Formats: sequence, C-alpha cells, structure tokens
Amino acid sequence: MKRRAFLAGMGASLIQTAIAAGVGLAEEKPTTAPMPKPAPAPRPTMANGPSASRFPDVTLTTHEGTDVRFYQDLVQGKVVLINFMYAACTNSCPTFTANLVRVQQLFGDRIGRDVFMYSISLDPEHDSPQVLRDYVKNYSVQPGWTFLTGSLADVTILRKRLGLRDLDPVIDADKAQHIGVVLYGNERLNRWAACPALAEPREIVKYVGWIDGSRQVPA
Amino acid sequence: MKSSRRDFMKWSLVTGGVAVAGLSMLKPAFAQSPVDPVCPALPPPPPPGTDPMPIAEGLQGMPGGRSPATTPWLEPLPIPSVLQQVASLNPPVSPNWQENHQINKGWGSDPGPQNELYEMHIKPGMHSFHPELPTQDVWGFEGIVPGPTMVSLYGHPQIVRFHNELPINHVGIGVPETTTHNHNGHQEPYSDGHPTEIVRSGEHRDHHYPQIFAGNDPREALGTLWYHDHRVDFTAQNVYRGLAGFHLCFDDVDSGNEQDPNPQALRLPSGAFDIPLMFTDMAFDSSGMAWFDPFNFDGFLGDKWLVNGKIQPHFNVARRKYRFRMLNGGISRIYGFELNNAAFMTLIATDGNLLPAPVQVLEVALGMAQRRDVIIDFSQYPIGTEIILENVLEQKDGRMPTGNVLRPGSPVLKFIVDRDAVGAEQDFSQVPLSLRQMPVMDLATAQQHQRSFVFNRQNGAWTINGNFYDGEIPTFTVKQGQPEIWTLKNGGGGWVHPVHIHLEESRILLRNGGLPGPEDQGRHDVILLEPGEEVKIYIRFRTFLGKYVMHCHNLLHEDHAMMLRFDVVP
Repeated sequence: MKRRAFLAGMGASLIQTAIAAGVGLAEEKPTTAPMPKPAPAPRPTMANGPSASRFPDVTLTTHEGTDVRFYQDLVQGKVVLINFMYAACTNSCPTFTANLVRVQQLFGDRIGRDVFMYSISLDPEHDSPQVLRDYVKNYSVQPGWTFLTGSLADVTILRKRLGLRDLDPVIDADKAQHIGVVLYGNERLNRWAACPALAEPREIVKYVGWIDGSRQVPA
Repeated sequence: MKSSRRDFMKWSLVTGGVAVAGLSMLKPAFAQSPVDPVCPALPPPPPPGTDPMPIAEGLQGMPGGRSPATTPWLEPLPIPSVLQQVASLNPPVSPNWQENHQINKGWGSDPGPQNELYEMHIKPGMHSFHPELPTQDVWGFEGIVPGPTMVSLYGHPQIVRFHNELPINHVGIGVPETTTHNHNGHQEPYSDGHPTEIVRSGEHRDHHYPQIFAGNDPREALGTLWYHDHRVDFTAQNVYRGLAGFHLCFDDVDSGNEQDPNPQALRLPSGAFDIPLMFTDMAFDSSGMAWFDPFNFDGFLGDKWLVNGKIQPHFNVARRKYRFRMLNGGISRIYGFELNNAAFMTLIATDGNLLPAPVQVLEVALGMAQRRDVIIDFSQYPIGTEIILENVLEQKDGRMPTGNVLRPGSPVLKFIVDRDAVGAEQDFSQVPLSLRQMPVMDLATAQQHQRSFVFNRQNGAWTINGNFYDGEIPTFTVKQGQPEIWTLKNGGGGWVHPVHIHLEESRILLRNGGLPGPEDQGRHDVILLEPGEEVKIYIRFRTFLGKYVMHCHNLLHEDHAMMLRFDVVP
C-alpha cells in the first residue's frame, strides 16, 4: 500500500439586476453627494455604524487630493467595492483595473451615487494623488470610483484587516504578489463578501446587486 | 510530539485481525501515552482543562483574541430530532411541477400522493452553545442547530418544502437568502440547491428527492448525507450561522433495524444507538457571542470544539455497540480523531457509503464535508469508564494542518459508560464481515473520456484550471451515462482542498500514481487533495440532465471562486 502524505488515510440575468437596482433606488434614499467630498471638517472620532468594528478609520487621500476617513467617509452607510493596486504594477494590476473598468461601465451611473468603488494603493510612497490622477486618466476611469493613498503604515493596517494578507511574510511583503480580490459589501447591513478581481464583470455586478439593499423591505 | 509534515496521521489499521505497518508505528505511542510517568519521550501533558491546540491565527482580530474559557462536559450531547412528515402542503405543490422536475412526469398538478411530504422552515432561533456563554441568535432549519435529521427510505420519494423565514433586513454575518443542497443526494438540478438558485426571504421552494439508486443499482445506495446552505459567495457565513443538518437514508440492507428478520439486513446498531455527530469549530468574542471574519479568504478556524451544536458535550452510553456517523460540518478545519484509550474503532462507511468490509482503525481523519461511520463497542468497558474522543491534528490557519500530531489531543467529546445494556437496550446488532459490494466500473470506456482539473491559488483567491466560478456558463458538458476518468490535482504546496462533486460519487483509481489505500476503497463525494497530490477518479452522471457544480469544500475557498459549473447533457 502506498503511504500517503501527511493526512494519510483521510481518508437573474443582468437586465433583471438592473431593474432590481432601479427598484432599490426607489426604496432607498439615494446619496446625493458625489464622491469625493470636500475636505472633512473635524468631527468626533467615534464611528458607530454596523460595521464600525471591522474597519480601521484611517485617514487616506483621494486621487483628487482630498483627505478622507476610510470608515466614516468612504464606507459607512454605503454599498462599496474595495480593492488594492499600485500604479507601477506591471504584473496583475493592469488586468484587474481593466476588468473593474468593465464593472464600472456595467454599473453605469450608479457608481458614485449608490455604489462606490475604491482602489487603495499598496505603494503609497510613490503613488501620490498626482500619480493616481494620471492612472485614472490612463484607464478612463469614470467619476465615482476613487483611488486612494495614505501613509504606508495606515495602508498596511487597512490591507491586513481586510484580509489582503499572505501567511507567508515574504509573499506578504512583496506587493508584486498582492492579492487580487475585490471586497464588496453593504455597510448598512454589515454584510460583506469578496470575489476575485478577475471574475466576470456581469457576475460581480449581479452579486453586488444581491446585497445592495434592493431586496430589503423599507424599514 | 513533532513529526515531519509528510509523515503524520499514518492510517493505522488491522484488516481481518492482521496489523499492518502503520499500526506498529502508532500503537507504541499510545502505549506510552502521557499517563505513563516514566516515558521521557513525550512532552509533559498540559494542565488539566488546557487545550493543546494553538489559537488560530485568524482570531487575532476578534475582541478578546480567543474564546472565553468554558468548562468541558457540562451538557449532554444533543441528538437532533427527526423531521416528521406532513399530511399536505399549503399551498399545494406548484402547477409548474412538471416543468421543474425530471422524473415521474405525468403526476399531474398534485404529486402529493406519490411522495412523502415535508416542510422545513429556515428561520432564526435562540441557541445555547454552552451554559457559560450567552444564549444567542442563530439560524437553523426549523430554527435549531443542527437542523432536524431527515430520515429516508429508498423507494419512498420525498418532497421537501423549504421556507425561507430569515429576517430580510438582517444585519451582520450571513445573508438571508438560501439554497439548500442535499449533500451527495442523487437529485435533479432544480432540487440540488444550485449556488445561484436563491430562495429569498418570504419565499419557498419545493425540492424533490426521488430516493432512487443511481443506475437502478442497489449497490449505489447512499447512507449518511447532510443538507446545508449553498448560497453563492456566502455559504461559509450561512453554514456558520447554523444552516446544516443530517439526512440519513436506509434501504433493505442498511435497514435501521438491528432486529430485522430480513436475511439481507446487516443489523448494524440502530435507533437510539445510531448517533449522528456533526463536528464544527467556532469562535466566540469576549462577550461570548459567535464571531466570524468575513475578510479571510484562506479559511476560518474556531477555537471551540462543538458536537451537534454544543461545546464539548458528554454522552452517556450503555455497555454495547453504537454506530456513530461522524460529519465534519465545519468551514476549514481537518480533524484526526482518536480515542484517548487507544482503542480501535470499526470503520464501516466513508462519505456515508458502506464499505465492502469493515476496517479496524485507530484514527478517523475527517476533511471538510466528509463523513465516516464507525462502530464503537463499549461492552468491553466496566461501568464508570470515561473515554474521550480527541482531535490530534494541529492546525493554525485555514489552509491545512501544520503536520504536528498532538497527544493528548484536543478533547472534543466524552463518552461515559454508565449502564448495562439490558431490556430495551439489549444489543441485537452485529457488524458483518461483508457490508455492501461495490458497483462494477466500466474502465475501458472511461479511459477514452478523460479530463483533468488543477486546484490552485491565484492572487489570493482560488481557481480550478485557472478559472474562477462563473455560474452563467458551464465550464464543460458531460454526456449522461458516460463513464469518465478525471484527474484532480492540487496545484499548490501550502493548502488542502476537499473536492466535492455533485450528483454522483466517484471511485479513487490512483492516488499519486499508487493504488488507493484501504481508506480510499469506498465511494466518495469528497476527495481530499493534500499539497501537490494528484488523484484519478472514475465517475459518471446518470438519471438527470442539467447544471451541477464541483467545488472545494473549504467553504471559504468555495466562496472565493474555487467552483465550476458543469452540465450533464443527453
């Protein structure tokens, strides 16, 4: 008998989604203020939405140069998609970003209104708001999808808290091998999931449609 | 005790009373168990009540960092109640019945008389995991964890109406949308619990379980099944919240009656001595509430051991034989179970299917979603004997065990021999040397139809042949009834994938080029792929047409796209 290894013996279509989204809009009060917001005024640091304990409320800077609090300004009360990237990445980011551009196109004008997209730089020391602005321009990213930078320490805290980590510290420290996962969720429901950044755009849009609150009964 | 990674959990067994090599390696280790103070080779036992298992790395973000201490063995093992038939369904089964269902057409709009009818309400309930933790909100079939046990008899088809009564505005872990998979059931796609066939809160759906043998071959009989939620992207969260239960199937051979006069009947321990054991691992925050990390794509481990929804329960047994149906209902943990008195267990079924012959084992290894039925004979022990079922496989993260074997292991369930088996408890059961024979394989045809699948990690998510799950499009089609050989390969070195295929079971032909060991001889619906392993299986899909899935049953790998759709075509 061959000895085995260590465990030896162990032994709704897109159109429907869009309609559902329309219904959702009618039920929910659309957020009127587009992102990014103006510089945040000083405010209490206590964030108390349903998902407050899951997200560090670090300060980041948008590609338009505005300082924002990650949880309070970007996530709280919203339906969001979050991923990580860096502008100089020649390996995986270009395909991820290109795929997410298709996602943005499918969402259409919902992005920035009731669904928000965020891409956070893994290389904040090089990715200044200007670098990210150029990146946005290169990929024809439309308004409502915000690219973010910040201090390396804050970005690392955020990345690890959001599961973008590798158990191998060498791989974890190597941003070229970074994780291509898009977190998506609805903060109002504290409902969070994730899918590969390279998943079919129509599938990403469908799955977000299923948690965006349009299936809720108005409170 | 440290052993090399590739070399632990040797399957030690005796067949027909003859010990093989693995036994001679393991038995001395047991003989020198930590109760022997003169043995220098073993580390000192941990203080009583201390669990030697390291705290899972994934719990660092949990308030408290580890679950609160709980006193073991306080409560008896709960045995889930059996789901009872209902006289009628209201409203009646949909007039679209014939459109959705593939067999027994011609029943008209009322298929009720031909079928046993059941209802299952998927709803919240209040549950106590342990008396020292707060009673809390869970989700359960019929509001209980585990759900009620379904009991089926071959030849008696069933319709089960699943009502989704979860709160539509639910906030937190889980999504109030369900699709219930009858795991390893031989059923049509409509009733299979397909990941994207979602039942929303306030809706219901009727599943048809025909209780027929694949290929009309009684050797294809299924025994220990389970049902659980399969909602795409949220399966781990919904199962963690409690959406799982047992489904036991009986036939003339495995009849569930140890006094059955039918000479065909095996008369295995039955009734109150046929015990389902659902093992799960969970974590509880500093306030004692169940905790889960939705941002962990490798896998989730808890630091509390639960059996049938209770942390470390005890089970009082009579001096006689019992059948235990062990199920790993957890998210990402792989178990190696041993009895702390180094006694053998008699393995009779893998993935719920009776083996050709029973096998004596010292350990039962159990990957996610796998089932192993064992017989334990307590007649040999005096009243007052206490035996602990331990997990000896150290695991620190959701990817796989470390390779260390812990002895003593983590105490999971305590058996207390507290009475003689007299009167109604008298033991009429037997464990025949021959159980159920295997169906014949058509390897000549299968060799002409081969496919291969590589399971891998890619940019932090999980792929099959480099692809992520896409529920809209079948990755391939397979001709109904055509025998095939599939090669399943774990493309990576740092993780384990228990691969589950819907509709039909498979047979292991080769594992890493070698013939399958005794533990691989049965029929399987979950094939555990260790790092780098390659397994060739024989499989064919009969009876039904349409869409099914294959996926990794580490539920966080499944939820992060290690799944594919395949369609069975004429």
